[in-house]
Amino acid sequence: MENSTDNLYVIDLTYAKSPADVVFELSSVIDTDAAHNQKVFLKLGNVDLNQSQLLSINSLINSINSTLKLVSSDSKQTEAAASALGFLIGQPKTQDEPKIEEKPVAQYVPMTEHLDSAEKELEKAIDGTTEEAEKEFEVSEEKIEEDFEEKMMIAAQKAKEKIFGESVKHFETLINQQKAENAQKEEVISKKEENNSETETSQADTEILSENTAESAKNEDEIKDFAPVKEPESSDGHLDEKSIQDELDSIFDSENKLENIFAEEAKNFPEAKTGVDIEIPEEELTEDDYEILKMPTKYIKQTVRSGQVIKSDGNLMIVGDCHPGSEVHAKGDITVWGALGGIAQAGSAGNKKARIRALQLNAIQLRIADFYARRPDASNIVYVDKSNTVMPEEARIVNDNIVILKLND
Amino acid sequence: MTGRVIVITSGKGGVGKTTTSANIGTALAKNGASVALIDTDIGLRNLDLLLGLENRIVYTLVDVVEERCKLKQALVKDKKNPNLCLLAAAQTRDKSAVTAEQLKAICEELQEEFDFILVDCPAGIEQGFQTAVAGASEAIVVTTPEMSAVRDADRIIGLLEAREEIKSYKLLLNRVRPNLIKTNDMMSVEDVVDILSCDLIGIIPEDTGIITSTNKGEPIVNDEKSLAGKAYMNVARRINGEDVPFLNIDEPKGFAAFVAKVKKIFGAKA
Repeated sequence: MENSTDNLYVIDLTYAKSPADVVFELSSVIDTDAAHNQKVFLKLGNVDLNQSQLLSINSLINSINSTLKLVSSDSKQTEAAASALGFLIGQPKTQDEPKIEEKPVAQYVPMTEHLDSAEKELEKAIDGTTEEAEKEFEVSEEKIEEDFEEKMMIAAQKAKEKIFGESVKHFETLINQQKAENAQKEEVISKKEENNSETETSQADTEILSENTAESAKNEDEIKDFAPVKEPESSDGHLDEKSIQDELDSIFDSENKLENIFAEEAKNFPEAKTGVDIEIPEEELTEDDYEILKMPTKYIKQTVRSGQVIKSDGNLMIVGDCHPGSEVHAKGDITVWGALGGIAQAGSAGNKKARIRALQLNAIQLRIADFYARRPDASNIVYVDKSNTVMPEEARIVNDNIVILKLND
Repeated sequence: MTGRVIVITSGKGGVGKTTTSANIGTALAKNGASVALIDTDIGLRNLDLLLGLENRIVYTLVDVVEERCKLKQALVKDKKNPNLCLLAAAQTRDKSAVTAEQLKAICEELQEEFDFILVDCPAGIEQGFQTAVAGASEAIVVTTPEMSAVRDADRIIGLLEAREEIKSYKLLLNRVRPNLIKTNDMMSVEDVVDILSCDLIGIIPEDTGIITSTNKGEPIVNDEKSLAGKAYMNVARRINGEDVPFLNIDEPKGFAAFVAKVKKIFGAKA
């Protein structure tokens, strides 16, 4: 599986047949201590990866303090993507193969078993930590931004085309991202002490509304669902085409992506907390932010009443109150010049940088991308608070939690 | 296990169908039965509010019917009572979103897992009513001691009798005010029962606690001191087959009782 050479740490994934396999194997490799603090030579087989997938692989490797130096692949698309991102292209394995020790360091872990153990670890890790370390992801992005900011914009554009054009690719990318995120979370949590020293943060009095438990549980669930699809021989591979299609459909439907949270009813539903001190990492602009800036904005000037639904393909600006029972959905930001009392979903196409802001934020449920938060049960808010003293607030995702920040902070 | 499907209906709006559903459901669950509440008032849902589950609802009855989620995913567990589940109505749709056959299928599915399925019916006798009644085999007709409500209840009982699948129906008299009955300003319980010739399952006194409990999102049966809560608790026991005498709702309490006693002693008219 992986072999240590004198200068480069070789990760041999030539047998991986799909991007999901690659990320999955990678996530098991980075569990081994030997892979830490290495210069990595990534050997890929005939698997097509685009730039955004390579980026997530890179951030995965960065998360264990290793750096991706060399990439080799049988696929031309992957090599092109790698060179566009500035990785060195290695020789094909037949020509220049470093001395390889034949005994594998780690055993091949069946996909389902791995997920089970990962789920347990994740749960344990989440239970044990209240403070979240800054994501390694941002570190990697910083690095990339130095040299390849332009290239990244192109990559993002291409990725977007891919997502909307080829649905199957979207599906694969999605799984990759989810797995990468999960693997990152594990790593990040276990290494939080190291990060804390170098993380520049600001303290603020805030309200946490959600916890990432639900989200990660959901990720695990979804990957589990796909295990038979990816690797039919490893488990009960009796899934017919129709059920696979159903699974795909459920992934594409952004509403249905949420279903796993609520399958467990209140168990996984994010419990609300108020007045918790959390660390707000310094903001960095990503392509998601630029995407929101480019979106069209729908302008609504009315009171949105119970039962009314307002949807926008871009940002949404509402001048007026949103009463309980109403729903506002937008692919970008939602801004309410008034009291927001209903359900608000920002970033409905999956943009995690989307935000919800209102003069009076009393929403029953807040949804940003895949993240959920509900109003605390204890809060005793009148039907619509029409008082003159308003407290403008903004909800956004910080470290995979929906956090409401007062404007004064 | 085959659960009992009971529809709670009235014809007239505002007599307390939803309050009754929430309270009987909670009372049955408190007594140990597993209960599913279905709100069929699509577009004008309120049952979630009375149970204080508004912030937990993501999937609704319409999502189940349109197969956007599985039935179990749409069931919202009660905050206090794990035996109690709510299947909420969609607020952004209308009654035509669910047909009678679809609701019947849902009821049949729920019957296998729950002891009681309580269907909260919308006001009126149109499609919404026809849908709500479709899956039920028993009915509770809620009415108040007012001529308009009694007349509507009469109409509803007629419609229920015409349906073969409704095996039994009972009358629940809500918002009874003993003081007004005494002064002949309100129809008495006996009058209503006479007019409708229907078995009584409960008499619920008017109680200001209902208003605060609605606002708090907490059914009044959770308040053991409240008279209305006790009355609803008794209704739940009667549904379970127990023989419980009706509460004496006109018995004065506290200071009023003391005054009445003093008056009696001095021979004054009580």
